[in-house]
Amino acid sequence: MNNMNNYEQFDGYLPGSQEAELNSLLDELGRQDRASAPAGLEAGVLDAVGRAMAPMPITIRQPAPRRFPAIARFAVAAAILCAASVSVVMMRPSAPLPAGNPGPGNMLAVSLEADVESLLALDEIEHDLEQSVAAWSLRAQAVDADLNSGWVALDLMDSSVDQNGAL
Amino acid sequence: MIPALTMQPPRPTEQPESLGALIASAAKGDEQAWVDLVGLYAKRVFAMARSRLHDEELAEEITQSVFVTVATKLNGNEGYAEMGRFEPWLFRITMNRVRDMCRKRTRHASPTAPEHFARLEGTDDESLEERDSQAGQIGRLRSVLEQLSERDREIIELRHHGQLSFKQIAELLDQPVGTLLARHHRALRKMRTLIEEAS
Repeated sequence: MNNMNNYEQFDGYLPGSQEAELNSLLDELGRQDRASAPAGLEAGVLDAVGRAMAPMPITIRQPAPRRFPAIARFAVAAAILCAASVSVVMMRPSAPLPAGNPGPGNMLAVSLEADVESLLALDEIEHDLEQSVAAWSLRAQAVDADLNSGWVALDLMDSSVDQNGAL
Repeated sequence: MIPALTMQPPRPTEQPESLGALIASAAKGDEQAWVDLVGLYAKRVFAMARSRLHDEELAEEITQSVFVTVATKLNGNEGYAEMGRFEPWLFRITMNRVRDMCRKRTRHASPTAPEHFARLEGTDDESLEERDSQAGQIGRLRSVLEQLSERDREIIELRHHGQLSFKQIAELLDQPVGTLLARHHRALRKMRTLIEEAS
């Protein structure tokens, strides 16, 4: 009997006679439960084991398309917004300086403005000078041309007079 | 102290060297080794699960799951760390699976049909002769087994369905063998008392 063998197997003990019959019945119960296994049990188990031990199919993982993370998109949007705001502020006509005692910041702005105006005035003067020079130069050229043409005419007249007079 | 036990000569070791070789071959993926291993243990694992769950399909499913776990462990990187203790290891996996399934069933429990217990006890249309036959006795035994505590029942099932030795059960349950023998004996006495009360 399996049960007896198991007792023997360990340390040689056997259950008492009162429990021996129950032991045999339990052995029979176990035997019946083992025998109730379906015919395809072992095949099913081997199939499952085969699937578990089969090497995993090699899969080539395609790299996921790289997308800007949300935070980068927000950063780009914020940068564009800042740039647009700065350009709008810069393109706005400057407001007149407040009257009264200007502060140190305003003083600097006023002096810078005065410098810029001086430079622009100098540039205008230079431009006027160049224009005057050019005008005078043109005028001189015209006078020169008039004079030359007059002398030519006189010369011709003189010669004709001489010829006519000679005739 | 364990009463009414008599001395018998010890039996040779329960795990022959050939089993170690068989497991080693199975770990390498040897098909014949797996056929042998499954042939040796599948029905014992099935019987353990069936006794507790009373459901052949579920028991078959658990048997497959247990062997898949064994195959994964033997084949995997972690390897088989239970050298020389394959059977306790195999049945510990089985026991855990059965316990998990019992817990799941308890969570989704539905009332058991009265005819189920009647069938177990052999009290429906069976004649008195049948009740006295071994089939009737086995039926009553099943019913009595249901009334044992889970721990006692595990010992009985590991012993009689799983066919493990007391030494192996002691290893599996991490208990001294003497304690285990006493508990087995107590479980048998309790079963006998329950049968007597029922009759």
